[in-house]
Amino acid sequence: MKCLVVDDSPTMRRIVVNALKSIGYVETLEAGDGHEALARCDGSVGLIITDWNMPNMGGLDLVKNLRAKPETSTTPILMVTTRSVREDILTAVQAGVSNYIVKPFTPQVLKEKIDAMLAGAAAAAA
Amino acid sequence: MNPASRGKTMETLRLTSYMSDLESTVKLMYQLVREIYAIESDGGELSRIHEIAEALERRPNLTALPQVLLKAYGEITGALGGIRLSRETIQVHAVDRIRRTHAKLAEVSSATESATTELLNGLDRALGIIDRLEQHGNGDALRLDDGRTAHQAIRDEVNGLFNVLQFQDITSQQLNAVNDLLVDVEQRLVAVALLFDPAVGEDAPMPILLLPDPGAGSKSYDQAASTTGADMRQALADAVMAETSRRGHLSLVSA
Repeated sequence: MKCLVVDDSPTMRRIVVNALKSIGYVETLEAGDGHEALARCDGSVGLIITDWNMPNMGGLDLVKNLRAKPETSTTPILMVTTRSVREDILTAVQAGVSNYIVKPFTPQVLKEKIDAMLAGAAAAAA
Repeated sequence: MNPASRGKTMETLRLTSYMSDLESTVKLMYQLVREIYAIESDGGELSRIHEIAEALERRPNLTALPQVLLKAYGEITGALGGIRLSRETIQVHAVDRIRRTHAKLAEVSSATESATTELLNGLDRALGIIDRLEQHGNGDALRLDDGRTAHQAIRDEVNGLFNVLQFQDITSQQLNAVNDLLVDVEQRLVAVALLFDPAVGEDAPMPILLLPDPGAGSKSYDQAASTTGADMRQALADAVMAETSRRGHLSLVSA
């Protein structure tokens, strides 16, 4: 499955990509902000992992845009961010994220969330 | 009360007295003019003019007023000089120090990012070496107590180091937040300095070197970013996610 990793920090992109590889997701795309992510996101992307705070277009607007596109309206989206206030999490849920990880995270947490999202997506499709 | 401030209080009281005299003098002068007009038009009483003239003579303080005003002018000029010095002190010591701190923080941020990139490159190379060793089948014989091969154990260690480097992203956000705070403090100090001495500011405006980020409307950092308490914050996120999926997120958000 192809995963799109969106973060303005090249360091974080590399860390997330490495974590994905370590849990078996070897096919990855990268984007530095929401605009770039929208341009790269087509029907072939099966999972989107995005940061919240980014220049140009942040993660929240990216999620809203993705949910408005038919080809990504049900794609699992995981928000990985330092923001951890309850109101922020609720705002992200309202925008359309499927799950939420607080930085710094461990690959184990990443795996748990991805597994849960994919299981949920499979159940919804069945 | 010290002698200096007592002296200033006395000066203030005397000045207030002079001002009161001046006000009543002006009133008397006004009455005098009116009486003169009255005499001219319908023969007013001369005795009233005498009364006013006598009242005017009972204001000896007025002769001292020019000296008092001159002294006040001198004191105000001296105070303005002190204020000008304060402005320069703010500029030289506070604003310049903030700028140096800003530059240092930028250097720390850049150095940390470069070092992290180098570390990531090294870890990538280490993973590549582990891959090659695995392809040669040299590590299967050696197994650790937990059952992992030596290759897998080293790979886990390297992946763990990858994960630790998340600190760079978080500290970078913290430094950005501090830098924005410094810009704000500097701008406020400049504003205060100009309040002290606006005339000088108009002639030679103090330049604000730390211009705010043009993308400040959409900040690319979280000012509350932290490397600590991640487990607790993740638990909160999990609890909120569980709650939203149980009850339907829209009702929770609008609540």
